[in-house]
Amino acid sequence: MKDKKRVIIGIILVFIIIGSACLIESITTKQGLGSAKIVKITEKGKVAAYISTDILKQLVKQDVDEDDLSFGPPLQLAMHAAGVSEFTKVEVKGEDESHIILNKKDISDDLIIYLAGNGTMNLCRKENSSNFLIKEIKEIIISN
Amino acid sequence: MALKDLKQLDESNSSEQGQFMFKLGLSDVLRATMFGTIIAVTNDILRLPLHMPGHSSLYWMGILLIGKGLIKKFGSGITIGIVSGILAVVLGMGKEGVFVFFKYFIPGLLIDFLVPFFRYKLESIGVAAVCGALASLSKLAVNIILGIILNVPMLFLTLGLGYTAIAHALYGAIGGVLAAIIIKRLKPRLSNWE
Repeated sequence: MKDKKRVIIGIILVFIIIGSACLIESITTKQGLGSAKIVKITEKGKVAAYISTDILKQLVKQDVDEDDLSFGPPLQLAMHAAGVSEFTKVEVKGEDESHIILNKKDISDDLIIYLAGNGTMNLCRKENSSNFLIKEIKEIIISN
Repeated sequence: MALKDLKQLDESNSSEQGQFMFKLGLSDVLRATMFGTIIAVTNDILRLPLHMPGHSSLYWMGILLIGKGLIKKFGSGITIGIVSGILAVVLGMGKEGVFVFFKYFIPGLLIDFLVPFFRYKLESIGVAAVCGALASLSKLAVNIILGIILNVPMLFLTLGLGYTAIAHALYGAIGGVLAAIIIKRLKPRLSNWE
């Protein structure tokens, strides 16, 4: 086999690997978001961050009092962790297409993200953690 | 006639030296060790303000390919990989802990199997670019496998994977091209290395 042919085979291999990487990325992104175990936070139409239960558990350990460990982090804390500090409205969407729009004054430490045992996240109030405002959060949309 | 005699003398000398590791003599292993050390130290101290994933492949794969191009024997890539991997662990580089060894070792291992396919023509720009790109992509693959082993969620591992793969291939290829140019210029001056 001539050297040129070998180089062409190598180049094709590189392109196949890059194509496979793109394919894996799109498949896992769809699967990850579809499972409701990963929440997408969008700001100005762009993805600001992806958060999972594991990340929020770490946040709870770092920033929330030991007494609050059974619940989950406040929505506000999760948003700060995603780099969102200024907002006027927040829309929280669920896997079942249910949604809630919250104004800045509605958002307090009372509003928490309840971390379920199956890896999904639910929005509820601290004093009424059995009644979910949004079950299986899919996306949090920030409006400025 | 004199050239033939010289070749015979050289062959007899090399057989007397014996093989130290793989098909390498002691001097080759020491040279490979030098390249491995350069890779680890360069990665530790050099900070290029490129802000793109895989930009370290520019010098990492470049040095690896220069080493392989100048020590044209099976095992030189593995030796460079082992040495740089051990140094990376000792110097505490990366976030993977002890597993960072594989990030350095696998590209070296791959290069050892890849370069014979291209008949050791690393002074050719095309061959070196392809080898550099593939070695750089192998580094990315090791990163992902390590992430899976360390239980990082798959979505976080594969986020922006397409872009990262393109950047890795690009920088690896550029590193390969630079290596080819350096090999071409160094080889005539290092005729006594063989």
